[in-house]
Amino acid sequence: MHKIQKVKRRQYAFDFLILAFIIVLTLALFFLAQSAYGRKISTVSISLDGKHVATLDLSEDTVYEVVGTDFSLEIKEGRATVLSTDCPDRTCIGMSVTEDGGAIVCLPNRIVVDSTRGTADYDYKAG
Amino acid sequence: MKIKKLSLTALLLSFSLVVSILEGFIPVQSFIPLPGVKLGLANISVMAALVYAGRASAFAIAVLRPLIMLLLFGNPASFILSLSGGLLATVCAIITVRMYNRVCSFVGISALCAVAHSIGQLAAAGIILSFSVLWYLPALVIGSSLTGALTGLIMNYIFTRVKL
Repeated sequence: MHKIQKVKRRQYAFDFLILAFIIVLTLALFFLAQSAYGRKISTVSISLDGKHVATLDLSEDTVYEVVGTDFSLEIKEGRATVLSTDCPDRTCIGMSVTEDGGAIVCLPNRIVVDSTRGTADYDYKAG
Repeated sequence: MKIKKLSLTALLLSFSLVVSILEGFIPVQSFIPLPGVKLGLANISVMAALVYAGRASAFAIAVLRPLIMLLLFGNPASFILSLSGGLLATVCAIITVRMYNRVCSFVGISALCAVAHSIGQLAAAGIILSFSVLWYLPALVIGSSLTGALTGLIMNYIFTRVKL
């Protein structure tokens, strides 16, 4: 239990510093990771319930629907975009994986759309 | 003394539930276009519990709120994410709350706890599904630090005025 007094004005400066630190650190880590692993994406692999279902090439325009669910993915002009899902969250509609990377995850459906870089397979699929 | 803590915890728990449900109606997505970003107002209750009633109280709320939400709405994915994020955020709160008025105000504390929450969530999602969720990390951390800062402003306001 702590005694709560008024906020000292000076503390707001540190608040801002903390925020700035978080943002800068995140961006720095992100760009560091990009330069370390930054080869262009060529294929996306889709898995359902941890099991690999399909690998699609980003250069071929197709529409892929995951069998058994309403989840469909459209590949056009080098990006894979989620067209439809049947999960209540609906947060994944419109999310896409481009040649720069990215991933799409649908937790209720347990679907993961992963980007595989070049020939090396950085698939960290668990279970 | 114990009864006071118990009833305070119960009150804070109900507050966090109501606030969680209500904040679900606010379209944060139009300001911060990320999946799963919420205002996280429920963390106010956890911090209030920590400040006014102690660590056990804070953990109780961090565990019971997702549980009750699961019973109410039956969303297991949401439950796991909420629980994992909430536990890490509570641990972070316990560690960082001492910084109040020594280093920063609740804005910074809450931002850090929000980041901890997001990291906990991503870790859980990564273990369950696949670690490609790490792609979400930068955007999620930045988004949650901002909403955490906002929540922190609210905490500053409340905690400096309410004596318990």
